[in-house]
Amino acid sequence: MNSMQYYSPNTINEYRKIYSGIADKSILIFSGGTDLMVGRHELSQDAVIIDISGIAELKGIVKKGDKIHIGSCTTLNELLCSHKIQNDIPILIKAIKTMASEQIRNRATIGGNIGNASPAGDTITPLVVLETKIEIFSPESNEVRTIPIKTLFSGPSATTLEKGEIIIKIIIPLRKDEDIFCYFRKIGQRNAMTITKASLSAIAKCSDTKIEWIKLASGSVSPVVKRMSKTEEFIKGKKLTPVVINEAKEIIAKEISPITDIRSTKAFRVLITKNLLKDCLSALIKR
Amino acid sequence: MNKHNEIRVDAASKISGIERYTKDLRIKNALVAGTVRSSRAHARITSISFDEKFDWSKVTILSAKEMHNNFVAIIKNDMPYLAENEVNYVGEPILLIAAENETMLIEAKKHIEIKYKELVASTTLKVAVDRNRAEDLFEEILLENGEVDEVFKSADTIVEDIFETGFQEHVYLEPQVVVAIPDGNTIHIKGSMQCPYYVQNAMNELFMGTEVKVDVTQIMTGGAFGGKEDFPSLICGHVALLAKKTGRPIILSYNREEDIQFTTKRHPSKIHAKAAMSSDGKILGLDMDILLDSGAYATLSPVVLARAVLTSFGCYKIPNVRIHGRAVKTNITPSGAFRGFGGPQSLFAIEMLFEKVAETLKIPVWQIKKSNMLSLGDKLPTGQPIDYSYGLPQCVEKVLKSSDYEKKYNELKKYNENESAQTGILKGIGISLAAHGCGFTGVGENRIKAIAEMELLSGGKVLVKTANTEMGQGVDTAYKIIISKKLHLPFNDIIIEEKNTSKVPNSGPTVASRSTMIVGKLLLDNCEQILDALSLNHFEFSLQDFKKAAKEYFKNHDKLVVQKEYKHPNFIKFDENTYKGYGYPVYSWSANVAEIEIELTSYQVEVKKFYTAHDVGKAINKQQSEGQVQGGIVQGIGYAVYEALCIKDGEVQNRGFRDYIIPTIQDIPEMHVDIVEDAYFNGPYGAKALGELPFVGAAPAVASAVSFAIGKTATKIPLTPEVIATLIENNNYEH
Repeated sequence: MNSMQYYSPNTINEYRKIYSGIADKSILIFSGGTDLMVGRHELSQDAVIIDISGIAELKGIVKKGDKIHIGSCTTLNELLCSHKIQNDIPILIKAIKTMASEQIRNRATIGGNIGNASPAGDTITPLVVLETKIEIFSPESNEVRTIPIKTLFSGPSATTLEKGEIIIKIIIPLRKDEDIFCYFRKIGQRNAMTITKASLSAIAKCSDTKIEWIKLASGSVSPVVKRMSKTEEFIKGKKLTPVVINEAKEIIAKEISPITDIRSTKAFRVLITKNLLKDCLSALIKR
Repeated sequence: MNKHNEIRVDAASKISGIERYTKDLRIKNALVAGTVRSSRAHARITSISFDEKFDWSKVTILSAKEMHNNFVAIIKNDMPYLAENEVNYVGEPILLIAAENETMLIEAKKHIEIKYKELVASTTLKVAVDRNRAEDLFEEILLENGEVDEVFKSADTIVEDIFETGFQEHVYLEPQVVVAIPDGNTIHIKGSMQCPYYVQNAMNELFMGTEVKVDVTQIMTGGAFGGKEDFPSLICGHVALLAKKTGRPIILSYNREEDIQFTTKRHPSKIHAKAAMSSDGKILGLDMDILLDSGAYATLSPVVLARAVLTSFGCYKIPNVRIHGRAVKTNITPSGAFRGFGGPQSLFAIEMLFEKVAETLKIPVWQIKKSNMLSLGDKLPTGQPIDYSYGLPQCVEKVLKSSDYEKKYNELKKYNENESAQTGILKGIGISLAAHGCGFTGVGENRIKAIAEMELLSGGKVLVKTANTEMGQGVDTAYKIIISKKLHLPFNDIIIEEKNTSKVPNSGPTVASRSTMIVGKLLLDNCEQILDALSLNHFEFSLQDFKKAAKEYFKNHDKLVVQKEYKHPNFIKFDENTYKGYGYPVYSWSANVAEIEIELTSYQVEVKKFYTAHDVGKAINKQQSEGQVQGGIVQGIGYAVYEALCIKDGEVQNRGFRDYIIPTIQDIPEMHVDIVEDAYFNGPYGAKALGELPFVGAAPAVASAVSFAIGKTATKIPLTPEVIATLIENNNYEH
């Protein structure tokens, strides 16, 4: 009987070496492990596990020109406490505040949340509306590639990452315009320690009477988190009257494709996604 | 006796982490046990095959074929330890495996294949009821009083509806865990359990006709709520059988996933209730049909149903009553004991029936409840007079005051009419009255004949011998307070004997909120027996007097052991055929007010405030009593709002805390608890039941507040957002 193998590299280079040394390459890579540990008894006894959360180069938050660079192994609580994030990316703060518990936020990382590729991943919807880019390192080619976050996901818990590739950096463009509206709300099953039934992230710019542009992403209501582009297109340039809001609700209902599972039903997810959009647009009007 | 706020005797060991639970026991040479379970809800087992590629000499397998007395001794003896030919629920144990370690256990399981022939399964209560088979009826009860048919013919208004409550999981902190240690012809069983003598009895039946002797010891238990009342008998049998077969100690511990899927749950209910009303809001008749989903085996269903029937008329004076109750078999994990024990189901129905009456007659619900509430001296439909220890009127007075119910009722009505459209939040205030029969139902106590024992030790200490277990509820501390007050002994001089069936007498199970009231009273009697033996006046003596008298006593005697057996006062009689007489020797009462909000984007019910007043006769430990009440409220809020067990084709879908949602500290309200003490003449210092009552009244108060907020009667719990959306938006969001 084989036994479980566990590696914990301290540098990206070490990671590359460990990876190269493993023959069958059926490797589980994690950062934080707050999801993995809960299901640890389901792991195969001969699993090969690499914990990348000890790689120092993958930690930290840096402002570079008009972008914020976040190391993928930065924990959720490090993000919450960061003045840079608080000042420049408030939508991410709003999202992280709703996630898990203090203890879990101390361990869970932003890269882990993204790589887990859950449609209910709560950092993902804000990152998608922010048009975030992801830096990926490949141990096979020893190279780094950069992709838009929206192209990372290929299905629930599935990504376009190649074997051994790890997310190393999250790059968020900053908007010079200061008057950006942002909205994040998730609906779960209780007030804390809860998995999203449906969520909505939005950023928008409005002039005196009209919405100049809006970017929307819904969580937990389609196989992957994606932009609600038809709804965005419809709202763009319009004044938010009750009629417009109602029409927008019907459009977003058609853009999503939720399922019924143990947490909620398809019909309810459609209903609350419409409600979330109304809640968002109402907040936008009140502003 | 003054109000007591004693620090619990188990507090330091638990907070510091030195307390040892069953999994902390270090047992040399032990094997770990695992269970091979049915994957079918109802089927015939056609074959069991063991893969030749696996080395079976490394593990021990046990099947039903090797067993003689293959039934778990609980009421109907219908549940096998291991299924032999037929399985009746998904997860039913078929084989047991003992292995050197967990890994080998998992590996062995992978190499066993069981084939089935599917049989018709009742995977919902509705299917079972529609099949209408006599053999599916575990119990049927009819309680009738007065002229029910007449009064329904002549009543001004008849109000009726169907009320439903869901499954509930106990969610004790410590999952099920037991061990068996063979020792010659004896097997020592230890584990997390409420009732060592229930296990002892089951083991006696299991090993009847063999040389095997068993003793049972309760190890510090991390929560139970009824989940460790009947269930441990099954798994103690499993470890005992494996210990006998292997000759080695056996540990069986469920992980949370196994525990949530395959251990007992609260019985779901479907109750059709009808009220005959006069135009001024007096209830003239009640006709109720109670269905309980018992799951695959009877377990304690007959007694759960009995309590459901005897709780069904709530705290009201109802002259004409017909209560028909049935406990029905389904092919789902068996339902079992759970805090409240049938009471929460039927109390929900009667309270929400009054809600429906108020909605129909357009009379405020409190006005209806108040005008029908029992008065001192009134009789229950069983004929039992309520003429002592009736503190409900005081509870009502206190809770109306603390909550400012009537003022808020009017304010919130106005708010919902004028402001809720603007704020997107509906608000509600609800009220419930609850009764809980204290101790066992009917003749149960006379049948159990509980015995408590106390021994005077040299040095003037006492050794307390009961089988009543500490599972977090504070019974050890309560007993020390009761004894300390009587004998003037400090806590250190009062020693609680290990809950081991070879050391303590059978003082009955730790259930039915009976430990303080029944056994606590026996201990007080024991104290008096000791004082008599020492020739001390019962009231006027000091600690020094006691110590001196004890010293004197041992000059002439070897030992002093006193025993007392419980018997109901003579006038407390109950007829099990007609359900007439004293269902319980006394009742505890509560009045509850809940304030809730429903946010219309999410449809989440949030309980903002909860006020309650509990008449418990006497609070032996005041702070602990308040803690019990708060815990019961939180568990009741979970039952009312959050906790949804999802069953698909008879199989529990939930796997743990991530998908079985209980309230967190962020979800629970500000709570205001008042304790009322209307003494019970036959309880220690007047104490009666407390443990279950806080749970019973909570859900109806919350559902009443929800009904207020949405303007129609909420007829089922849990009131999840999907259910609330369905009620508000008139469209089905539940499926």
